[in-house]
Amino acid sequence: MKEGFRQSMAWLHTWAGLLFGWLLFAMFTTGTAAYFQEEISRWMKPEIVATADRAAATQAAARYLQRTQPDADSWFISPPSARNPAVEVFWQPRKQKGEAPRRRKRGENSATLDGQGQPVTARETRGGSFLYRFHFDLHYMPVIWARYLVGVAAMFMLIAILSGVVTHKKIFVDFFMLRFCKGQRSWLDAHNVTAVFALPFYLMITYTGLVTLATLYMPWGIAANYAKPETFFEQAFPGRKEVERTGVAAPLVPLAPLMETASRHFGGAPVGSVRVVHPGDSSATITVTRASSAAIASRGESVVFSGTTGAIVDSGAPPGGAMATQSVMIGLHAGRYADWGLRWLYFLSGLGGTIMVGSGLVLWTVKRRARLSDPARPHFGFRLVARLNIAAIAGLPAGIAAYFLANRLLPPGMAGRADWEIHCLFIVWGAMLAWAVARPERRAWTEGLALTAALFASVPVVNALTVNRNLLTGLLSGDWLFVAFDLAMLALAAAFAVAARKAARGKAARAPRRARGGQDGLAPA
Amino acid sequence: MTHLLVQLLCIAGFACLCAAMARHQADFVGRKLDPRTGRHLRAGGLTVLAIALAAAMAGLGAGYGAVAWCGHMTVAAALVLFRLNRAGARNSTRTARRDVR
Amino acid sequence: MTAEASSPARYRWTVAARALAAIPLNYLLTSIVVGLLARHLPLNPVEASAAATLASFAIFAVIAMAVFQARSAGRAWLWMAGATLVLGGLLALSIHLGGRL
Repeated sequence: MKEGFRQSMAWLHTWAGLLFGWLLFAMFTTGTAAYFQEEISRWMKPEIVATADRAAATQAAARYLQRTQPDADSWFISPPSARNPAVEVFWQPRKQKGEAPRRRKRGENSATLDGQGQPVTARETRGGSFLYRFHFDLHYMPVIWARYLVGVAAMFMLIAILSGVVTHKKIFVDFFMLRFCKGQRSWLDAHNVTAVFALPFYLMITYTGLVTLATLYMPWGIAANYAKPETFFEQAFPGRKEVERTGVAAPLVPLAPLMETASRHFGGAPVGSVRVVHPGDSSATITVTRASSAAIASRGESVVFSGTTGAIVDSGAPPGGAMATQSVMIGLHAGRYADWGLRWLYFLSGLGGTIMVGSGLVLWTVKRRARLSDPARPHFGFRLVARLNIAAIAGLPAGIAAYFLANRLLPPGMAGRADWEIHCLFIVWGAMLAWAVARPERRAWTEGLALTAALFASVPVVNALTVNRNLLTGLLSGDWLFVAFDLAMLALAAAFAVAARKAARGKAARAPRRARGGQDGLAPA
Repeated sequence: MTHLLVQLLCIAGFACLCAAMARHQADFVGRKLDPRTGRHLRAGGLTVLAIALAAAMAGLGAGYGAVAWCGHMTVAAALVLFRLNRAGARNSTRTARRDVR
Repeated sequence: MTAEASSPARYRWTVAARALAAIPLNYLLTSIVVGLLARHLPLNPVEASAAATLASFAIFAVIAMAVFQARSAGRAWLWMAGATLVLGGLLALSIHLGGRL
């Protein structure tokens, strides 16, 4: 048995990694980009410029909602933050008697407002939040299937990490032995280096990712104690019980003073959201929640006020150890608490993970190629993996560059614009897959990587031609978002160009090629 | 600021740990060191890394600081490893050239 | 992966058998263990359910690795089926006697 242990773990590592490798690559790429989703969204809505006074903006938003949705069941307001200067509002329309719940289209019950409570006229786009949602909801499929698929992939990842550590038993002692740019071994080295450097991050991100959707994947912990899941949630989150409308009209108190009170309650931390239930009714309540940027624990404390008197109704009991642990784990995964320094560390670690998965996929083909009985005619499984590798590693980043280009090039008034930006991402990705299948393997790599480099390089150019904020104006006026975004696009273009050159040079001299994820801007707080 | 300090401390710590290992000394430091120095370097390196953690927690808060420290460890380790690789590559070319002569 | 991989067909059967044990059967067993933990950890029900759920992923991963490390697929199945029956019975008994909220 001893003979088998490391070998069996090595076997498990290879297969656990390979079977879900392409999905994991996509999850890492978009998840890494998601750490800068707010910045990407701001870049994709260049029309929005000013940041407003938070309390005044929230009050103005309430006035807007009072004007346009006075009969709503509830309003939800996200005040402006350091990373998002606009106010986001959502509302839940009153349920009509007998009306079956229907799926609402995006935008039907939400709006983006400026500091004066006016809807912002920016181009319609899903911005960075599409990349964020993609990494667990995927696209073109019911969200629930995507989440199950992503959960299975995450568990395979966890097993791949653990078996990888077991296989490489002298992992920390041999740490400084890692070498790269040395020909044959370089793929293995790239994989090992990126895997070891951020190992704590990968363990954390994978486990906490599973925890984020824990009740979906493992509902039995709740089911063992509770006949109905609702009972658990009522006990775990008291104060969330819905009250009935009284039908007695009563004006809503101003929100700004309540935000101030709540913020003091949170020890000075800023407010993340304001939820008004039954506005205009005497049963109205206003729930003010602490911003997720203020502490690692993701579930911010809330204070519930009466909507008619402004008195505190409930200030929430502190959660127990396990619930608090879950909240911290979700917070660690999402990283919304991170300031820009730590955010870049998260991003770099995510990039490392993307490279780790990509290099692992390529490593599989490199190792197998050596063992092929007839290298000129590999078997189907090998060819499949080789082509899918190109499609994933060059294709998805190219798609993301295309997404940014589409944002600048599609006409602002176009119907379904936001959806079409996304279609462009997948069209380019699909085209890359087709190209990868049609061309000889080495050419496909070179051409694919070169195309990706070209697409990223063209983003700053197209931006400068279509919008009046760019790298140069940014340097002159202190518009750092545009400076950082353009530089990031150029850095990615350079990285892919280097990779394309190395791919063209030949298989014996292949040095680690860097596959990168989607990109963004730096956001000083 | 705190991030910069923590990063520098982590780099110093990893540099000590790297120099403590006999097989890397020739490349990293330029010559072989005696075992006692090696041991001192290892102890020193670990201490500096611990100080980095303390600095992070002091400057950024306990939880936040601990997480930030992990991130800084990753980057610092990468930088030290790059330096080691560069030094190793240079030394082997130098050796090769010398042999040719 | 150990002694059974003597021919391609046997190899495939072995892999399939281990995969079935490591995935669907593992999910069943892990769920049962989580249920037992949720009911019998010395915490209030909300906390116990949460704690058991949090631990579930580690439990699943460890069992999966154990299945592939076991001397043979047959042994893995025996152990897991046995554990599932015994623990499943205990869980059913616990729910029958204690009820749910």
